[in-house]
Amino acid sequence: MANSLKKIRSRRRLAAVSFLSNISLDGNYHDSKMKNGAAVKNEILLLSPTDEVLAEESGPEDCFSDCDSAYTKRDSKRNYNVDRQSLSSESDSIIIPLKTYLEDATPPNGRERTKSASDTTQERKALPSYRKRLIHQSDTDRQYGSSSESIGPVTARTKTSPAPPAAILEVNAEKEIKIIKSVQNYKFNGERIVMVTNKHSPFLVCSFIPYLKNYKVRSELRHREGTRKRNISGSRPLSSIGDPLDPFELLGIEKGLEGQEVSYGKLLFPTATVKEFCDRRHNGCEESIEYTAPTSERPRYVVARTKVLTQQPGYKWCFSYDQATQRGTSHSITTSPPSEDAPSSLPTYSPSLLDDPELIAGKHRTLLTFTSYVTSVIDYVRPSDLKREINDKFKIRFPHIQLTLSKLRSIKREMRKIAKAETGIELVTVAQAYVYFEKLILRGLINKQNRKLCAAASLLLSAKLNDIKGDALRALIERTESVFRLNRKELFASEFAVLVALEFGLHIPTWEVFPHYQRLLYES
Amino acid sequence: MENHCGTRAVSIMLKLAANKLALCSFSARLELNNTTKTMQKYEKLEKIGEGTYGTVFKAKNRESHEIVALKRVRLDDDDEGVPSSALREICLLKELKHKNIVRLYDVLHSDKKLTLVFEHCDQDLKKYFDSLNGDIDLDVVKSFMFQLLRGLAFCHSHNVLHRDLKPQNLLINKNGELKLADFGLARAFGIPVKCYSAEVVTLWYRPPDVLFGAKLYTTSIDMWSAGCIFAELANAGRPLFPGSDVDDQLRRIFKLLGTPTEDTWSGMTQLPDYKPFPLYQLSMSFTQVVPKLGSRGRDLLQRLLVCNPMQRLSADDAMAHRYFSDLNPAIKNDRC
Repeated sequence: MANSLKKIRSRRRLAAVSFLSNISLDGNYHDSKMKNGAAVKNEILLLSPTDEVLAEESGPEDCFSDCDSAYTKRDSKRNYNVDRQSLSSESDSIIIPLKTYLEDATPPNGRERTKSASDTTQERKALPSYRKRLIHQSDTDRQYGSSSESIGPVTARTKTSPAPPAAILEVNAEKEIKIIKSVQNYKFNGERIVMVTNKHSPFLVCSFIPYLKNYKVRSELRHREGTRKRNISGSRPLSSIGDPLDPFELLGIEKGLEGQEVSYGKLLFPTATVKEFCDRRHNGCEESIEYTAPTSERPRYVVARTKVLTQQPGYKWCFSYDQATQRGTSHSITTSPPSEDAPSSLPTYSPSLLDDPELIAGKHRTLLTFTSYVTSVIDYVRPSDLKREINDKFKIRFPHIQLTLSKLRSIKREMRKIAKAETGIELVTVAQAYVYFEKLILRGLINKQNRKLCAAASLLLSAKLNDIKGDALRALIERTESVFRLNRKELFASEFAVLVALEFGLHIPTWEVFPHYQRLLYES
Repeated sequence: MENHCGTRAVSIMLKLAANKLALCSFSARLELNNTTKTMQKYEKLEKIGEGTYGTVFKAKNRESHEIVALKRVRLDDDDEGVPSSALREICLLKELKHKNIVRLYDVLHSDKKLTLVFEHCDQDLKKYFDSLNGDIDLDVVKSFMFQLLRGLAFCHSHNVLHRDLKPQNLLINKNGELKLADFGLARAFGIPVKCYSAEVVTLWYRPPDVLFGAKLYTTSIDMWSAGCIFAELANAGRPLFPGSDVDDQLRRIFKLLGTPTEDTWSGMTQLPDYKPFPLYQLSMSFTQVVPKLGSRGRDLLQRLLVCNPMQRLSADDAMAHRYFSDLNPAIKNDRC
């Protein structure tokens, strides 16, 4: 039973993959093939409803009926055990050829014959990625486990995205392919289309991304992260507050005996190099912010942790896993100073190091980058699976951190929630607090007991440095107490402990804060 | 960190509470060197004054006999935690090590109080003025002004706004060195957001844009104060715009510089607290305002005292002004 379910699931994925793989990759519309009846007979893989909807032509409908007949022939031969209730005929029809393709490892002859030369090369190059992904997929399917938290992105995507009526494909018991045409010449402009089965489980998402050389537009699209009601977990019950924690001890700081003063003079060495601030100054003074990361040079299409197919000049297709793996291993938390001119024991900080904005879709995504458009294949995955997978990845990358990525994100959301309710608290304040908190995490100082205290203290410190004072500050403190369920005395005690743990380094360069700020802006 | 222990540092490894299971798994790298008993490290000599928070004492280091200034901050007031002014001083002065900026040597912490240990200077510029009896050497004016600008340029290059420049906050030592002090109101700037406090800078040294309630300002805020201090230096301690309230302050400024209009300062009328002022004509020339200052000095002053913040000279440009071309090279080349 479970086996068949698994089969169906992977079949759905295959459906989406093969569906997208048959959108002509160079952006041209090969109409001739569709018109050619003989060719279409064996060419099931060429089904491409989105193309049709886009083109808004009336002609291709005949072609689809051709395809249908071809498909039914095949189907009857193979006699697949199809779950008629939950699968759309669309996805089923598409699975079969690809499956053959994968199992046989050589394409059927008829298929090869009818294909144009360019198409074949494309598919050959693209094939390894699909196969690899299939292996990953089954790996994750085998792992089970549950947790009360989950990461929103994938579900949020489908929830928030508009689903134009034209794109919904209804399930038909006869397994016919039904194409619902756009209503009143509906134009798809920069929208995200979600295809769902009649039970509303999404199986395909595609976006229209305007072709722009400007990278910002893409990053904007990527920066959508789900907001989700958080599950209260791991927080200390109020009752335990009677037994106060020592925030200094929790942060590994030695504290003087009762009434004794401790000298922190050794922490007063400047952390930032002049160069950092000079860079920063040039950025900051301008009204329009053009942010350039001075540390890492990233390609324009940056979608890490995704297989990327890039079209190279000369009609070559390049398959690569991008920086993900290299970055994961090259990053190291060292006790030695990062460079000679920065005399500090701090590990190098990068704003996207911990809460990697790319770490939202796991390996359930394949990105195809073309000169004229970008295609992502996002498989449906249960949010809990996705969350577990992302947390596992995070754990592998940062074995010394006793915090899951989803918990980090949920704490960050809470920090933002606290600040949001207060008037006059800018997102910069929150962004700066994120940097403090993440730096503490990177130093391995955060654990279950102190994570909320430290997050609250980070926010408090950031607020104080950003001109929050008087009533606004008092209101912020009160709200922090209630949201994080903290005791004020502990909060103030951790404030100084955090300050020491950060080695008084609260004055940080803009490039550390700005990416967080930008993300917050996009999410609001 | 180990590299900076120094010779006398006694490195004490962290004592981790063995019973805290959660803590055992990570290796704490934070070492607190030199965690010595500091109770008797300093001998209090006299009270210097009251800062924006807490009391300031003159004290002597018992070991090195070095004279320091101690700023005491009480922490028992459980209202807001560590006062933000103390926080600013610690975090900003940590990054600002410069000859013309007061040095923060140490931070001492106990349950009840926080003590900041500063470099001690003999007097502040205000006290220096009082001792002058209305007469000042123009070379001293030039030297002090240059050092003020140099300290300020360093702050600005490190993205720090001082926001409270006034003679009381400029310290002077026996060697004729000037140092910027009291960073309790200072803040970082970078990402432009409209949330800066408009309640900054002592009234007499506050620029017209901030007087009109501007909440987004940049280094120009300090440059206006520097201009006011420059004129005060040249007049041996007579303040340039000793206003009694915000309106009086603006009136005094506009009487000297002429009332700005949208033509000379676009966006002025959009400022939160803007209100129209009579169009004062220029009745007084700068030769009357700063009679002792030469033409070059007057030119520099006029470039600093510009109502439109966009047109105010920057600290770097001011240092390159012709006025300083005949400055004593010993002062000019005295880097950091």
